[in-house]
Amino acid sequence: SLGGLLSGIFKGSDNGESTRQQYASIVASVNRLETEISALSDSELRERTDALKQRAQKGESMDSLLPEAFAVVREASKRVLGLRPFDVQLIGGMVLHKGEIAEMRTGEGKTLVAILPAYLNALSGKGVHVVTVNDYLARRDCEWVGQVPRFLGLKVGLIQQNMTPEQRKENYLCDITYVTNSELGFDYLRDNLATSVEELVLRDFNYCVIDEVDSILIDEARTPLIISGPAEKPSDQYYKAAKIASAFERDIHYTVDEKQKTVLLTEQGYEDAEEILDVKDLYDPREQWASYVLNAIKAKELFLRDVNYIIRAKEVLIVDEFTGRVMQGRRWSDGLHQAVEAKEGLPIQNESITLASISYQNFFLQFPKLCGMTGTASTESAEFESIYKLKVTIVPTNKPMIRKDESDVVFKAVNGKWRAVVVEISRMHKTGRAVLVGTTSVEQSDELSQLLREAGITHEVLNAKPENVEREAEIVAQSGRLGAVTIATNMAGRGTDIILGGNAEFMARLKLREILMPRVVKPTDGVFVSVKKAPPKRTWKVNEKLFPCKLSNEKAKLAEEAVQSAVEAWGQKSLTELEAEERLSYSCEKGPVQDEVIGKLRTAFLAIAKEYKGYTDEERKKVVEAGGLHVVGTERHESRRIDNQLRGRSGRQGDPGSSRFFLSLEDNIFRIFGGDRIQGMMRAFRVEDLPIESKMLTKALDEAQRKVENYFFDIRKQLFEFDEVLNSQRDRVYTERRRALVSDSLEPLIIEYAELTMDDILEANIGPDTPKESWDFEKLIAKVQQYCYLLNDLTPDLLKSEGSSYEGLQDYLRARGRDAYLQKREIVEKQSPGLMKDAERFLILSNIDRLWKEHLQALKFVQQAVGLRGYAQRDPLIEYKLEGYNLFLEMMAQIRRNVIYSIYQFQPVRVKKDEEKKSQNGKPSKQVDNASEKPKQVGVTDEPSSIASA
Amino acid sequence: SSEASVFDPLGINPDETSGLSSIWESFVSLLSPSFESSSGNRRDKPSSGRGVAAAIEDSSIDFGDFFKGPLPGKFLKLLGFLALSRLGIYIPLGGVNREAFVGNLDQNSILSTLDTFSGGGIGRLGICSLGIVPFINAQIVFQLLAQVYPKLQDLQKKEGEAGRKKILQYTRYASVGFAIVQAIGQVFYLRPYVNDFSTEWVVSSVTLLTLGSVLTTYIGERISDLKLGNGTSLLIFTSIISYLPASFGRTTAEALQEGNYTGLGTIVVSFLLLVLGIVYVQEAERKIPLNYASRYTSKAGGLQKSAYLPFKVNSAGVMPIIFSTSSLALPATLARFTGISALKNVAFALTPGGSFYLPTNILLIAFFNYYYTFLQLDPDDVSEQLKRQGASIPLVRPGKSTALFIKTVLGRISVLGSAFLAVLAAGPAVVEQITHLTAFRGFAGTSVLILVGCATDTARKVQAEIISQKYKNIEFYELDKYDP
Repeated sequence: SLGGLLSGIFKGSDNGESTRQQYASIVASVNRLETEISALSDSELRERTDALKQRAQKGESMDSLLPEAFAVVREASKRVLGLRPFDVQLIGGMVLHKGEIAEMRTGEGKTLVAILPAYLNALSGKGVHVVTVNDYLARRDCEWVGQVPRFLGLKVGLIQQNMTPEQRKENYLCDITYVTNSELGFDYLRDNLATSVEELVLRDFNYCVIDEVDSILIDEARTPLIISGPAEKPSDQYYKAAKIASAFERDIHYTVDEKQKTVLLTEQGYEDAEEILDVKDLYDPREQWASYVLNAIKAKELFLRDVNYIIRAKEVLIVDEFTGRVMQGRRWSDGLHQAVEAKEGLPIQNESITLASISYQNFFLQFPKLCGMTGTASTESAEFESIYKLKVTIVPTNKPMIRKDESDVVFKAVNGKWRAVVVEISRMHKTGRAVLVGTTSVEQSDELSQLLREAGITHEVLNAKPENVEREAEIVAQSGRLGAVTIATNMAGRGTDIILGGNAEFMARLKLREILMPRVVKPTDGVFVSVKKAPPKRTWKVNEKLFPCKLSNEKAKLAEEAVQSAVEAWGQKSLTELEAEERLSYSCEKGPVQDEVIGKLRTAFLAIAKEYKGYTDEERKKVVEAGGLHVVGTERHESRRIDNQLRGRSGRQGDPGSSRFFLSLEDNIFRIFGGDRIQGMMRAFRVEDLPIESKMLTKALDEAQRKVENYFFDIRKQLFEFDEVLNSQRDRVYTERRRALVSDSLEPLIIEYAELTMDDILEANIGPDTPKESWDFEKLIAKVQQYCYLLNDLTPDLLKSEGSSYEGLQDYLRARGRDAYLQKREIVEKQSPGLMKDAERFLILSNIDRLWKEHLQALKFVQQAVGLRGYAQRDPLIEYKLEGYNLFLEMMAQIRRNVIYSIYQFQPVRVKKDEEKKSQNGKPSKQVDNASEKPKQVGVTDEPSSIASA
Repeated sequence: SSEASVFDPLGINPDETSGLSSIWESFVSLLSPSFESSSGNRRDKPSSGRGVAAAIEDSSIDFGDFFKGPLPGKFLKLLGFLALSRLGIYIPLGGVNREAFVGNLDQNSILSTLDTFSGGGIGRLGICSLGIVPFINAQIVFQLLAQVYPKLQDLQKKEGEAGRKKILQYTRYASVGFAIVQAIGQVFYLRPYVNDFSTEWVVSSVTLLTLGSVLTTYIGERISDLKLGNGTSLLIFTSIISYLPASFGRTTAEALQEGNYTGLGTIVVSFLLLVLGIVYVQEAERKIPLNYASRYTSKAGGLQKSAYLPFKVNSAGVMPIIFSTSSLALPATLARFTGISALKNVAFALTPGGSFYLPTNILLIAFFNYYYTFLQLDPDDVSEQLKRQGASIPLVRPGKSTALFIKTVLGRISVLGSAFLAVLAAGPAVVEQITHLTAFRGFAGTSVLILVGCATDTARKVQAEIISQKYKNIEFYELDKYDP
């Protein structure tokens, strides 16, 4: 523990050596087992799994099983994949097993590390989830490293976007399941909207390994997963508001706060807007012009084309600020997206309403044991610790990292900075080093590209623009080649593996693709009818210069044969592009193949890759000699973590490399967060294009960046605290819902509903404190009968005789309520046996869903409203908790009353005539605010009959 | 009055234990009414022997709920911290003739107010005798400075959490400064009662007193971290509570001695009335309804009632009383230093019981209340904040008109608030006159105001905590009904 303490003090220089020492003894015990284990035959090795499983079931602690389990996995990996996990990888596995975050550098083999703790924790039989960021990675990992646990006799499952619920269920039941974060989260939400037990796909959570954990738990923390249904049609108000916004002028009609990303109307702005719209109060809740106008101005000033979003086929697509990628299907909330659509003059899509939502934070916190890996976590360790109770441990690298991070070069003006960047690039380019330039937006990457063209430097651009995204693989494959220059947005962050000398496998795959695709893919037509311009014919041709050499005849023939057999098996030009891509990538991966055609393609692929590798290895030597990959940063990001990701592209697996950041005092981050100190310095320096070197300046810049980090951390923390309220309510409601869903008999619950509702009616009409003389029986009876027509025999006299006291009356009404339900039940059962149970379940579930949906909005509103309670010296969070609780109680009571009312009113009708009316849920088409989820219908189970409810 | 001056270095003073237990009792008693009020008109449903639905909707809070979560542990910690803060008061500063000093203390009104806040530390001359007072002073000073230096204000309002942390850090530094100054002042004030007034004694005493204050400030922050209420207020709360029994005992003894039973009765009754009145006014708010620039508000009808801008009737708290008391004591202090006879007369008229004391005090309270209300709730600033939150007062345009509207509302409220504070300030004196008894020290309106404010705050926090647990605790209720 002293080591931990010391490393805590000297955090700056932590390279994981203390971790190495901490785990040295366990690593040694794994290594001791190696000779014994490696002597085993395949089947004996497999038997070890069963032995370990039995020990685990007997209650032996996982920790005591660890050395043997790791040794078994290491041996299996050696046999199946031909990779023997290094000691540092074992350490990584141990850190993960402890439920901590393992920080491992790029190229250290995180994928392989994950199977060590996954295997160990799967021994308990309770299942393990391995979470990746996209479908491709999930499949690759499952097919590649998943072979190891499969070889050892465990079942390994995989979830992909287009799977059916049956497939999902089966795969989730495996010992280890590979899945993306969004699929897992959406399956959880869908399970909680399910209307029958058969629809449930997930099993209880046990242990979860998250790949790129900082991306999911920090970057994505602010965007929840949402399943939404369509709401009302978009109104013209958006267009009107957009017109007003474009007519308004900054600082005359409105002011912009770039830091908080808000806009405020000025006095003049209010006056003019009210005049134009001819309204008295912009905030009138009936019209809500204020929100339209403010959103329109925000769209104008803060959401910029090619920075925050791009436009593709009449659609506004958000560009993720952390990854630089387009976020398919995600929309800004609260009408902002519509406002942007109006600004661009595009058709406005429907409003949507949230049916279910959960943040990744709270979702993953449901796992009893959670861990994750990433290349960059240590700068955010305080956040992981305070919110997730996850400790960050730095795992040492296998080979020492020798990248040189050179000190920043700071300019006063942006122009000076860009000139220097171009000089730096051309200098590096001349020596033959590969250069990667990181920019923060699509716009900037294009501008820099223009500058480089003027300077005559050939280069590639990697950004979210469709034409560039398409060529991503191609660009990355050659980014590490001699003298290559690549300008990238944050897209070249996580997961981009730039291999010095070029990526032979990528190239081989592209070559194969070039030959295969034109022959098997169905020509697309009809899809683009509405677009005026005819789509360019796809050739899949890649620039010849990409390939290090012309393919030898022998290899070309091999490829030709493989493609020929593929065409024969799959048919001439008959696959969709996606299908073909999928089969191609399957052929070019490392998973085992059964299919003969794929096998042939695989052979061809391997042969081509081998030939290319001869050349790329040669080139690699040259690049290494020149100094490896040089990373040029052009702006500091919102957190040091993202800067580090960019730097981390260089210096993988002990390669040489360097990085340098070029900054200017006019950069957004310093302009907005810099404060007076940096403003003062800006005034002090007169020279525009000479770099400024000053300790004080560097300190001030670091300070500014830290300020930004803290600022966003505080926001996330506050959100988390407020979200906790929603989360505990969601837990509660989902538990109740699940109980109703799986319960065999709902009778006791409904009897309770009946009794409680009778209590409510009694209390509302005759309070317990009302003297007996003034009891208003007429009113009470009217209300009771309105709820339940079966109780039409009630008369004031009857009640008078039955209820001598308030309690007596209460007991009597309860009994009557109960009896009425039982009576109803009998009537329905007589007509159609078994129907009542289904109806009850349906009513409970649909009422929970509908009222929960409304509750979500109510909570959102209250969260906004409590913000001003501080003026009465009250803590908004506490107020939110208290008011939220009251809303929750109201909702639960409302559910109960609605359910019992509908049951009393329930009349089975043979004909399905008013199908629509029966469910408030309707058939919500699922439109997902987050991640790539295709609209899909969440159907309501076919009810045997309609329910006539008023 | 030998009882109060008993020297008790180990803190085994009966005051101490009774102080703590009375905190407990007052908590318990204060918790129960506020729970009822928050559950509103909804009657609590009996939960015994009922099913889950009843359990979920059961909003009553019993002691079972209290003990189910982390709360008991938190309360133990809180009590531990408070006990620790008290302990420092009983560790004495060496070399002072205590009895002579205490005798003098009773005649000085500012010192005795301060003494109440620091929990009798000044009277006992413990090393923590400065208590949380320097920190409070620093806070007040920073609040005032923020008005003068816009940069500070920006830090407080625009930089969010980070800015507030920075201000807190500055406040801490300043509190050390205040502690040193106050310690020096106190040490010299003690001069007549010190046996051996040497430089070493001065230096060591000042250091000890400063450290004591820093320690108390530190404890206060730790208490805030427990999220059971503001640490500073809780410390003052304890101090006042710890004083109540002894002081009350003294008044009772006096009454019994003189056989003035009606007087005693009147005091007790008026004290209770005072507490009730303060609870009532403390919770009183002017709620200005708001519209938000967000969708869906119109559909969720009943929700509109939670969208309001609250202004407390007494938003300035005790500050006006403290300011006015300090100002009233100024002439006396000046008179003592200068010896001008005119000043002496003025001072005499302004001491409690003097002819001009009450009217001047009330006037000053009204002035400071008005001033302080607007200092805390600057209408322009509130209007700006409303704009940022996307809120607007119906039919009042955001911006200047809103600021004007708020100014009018606040102006009216401050009249009410001033009247209330004046009653508080004058109350004890009036009661004293009627009963011819020395009212006990905790009787002062300021103390009760702090007690009530602190207790309701803590009660809400505890309630919120219990509610958070309730979502989970429902599992513990009888679930047999589901498995027939």
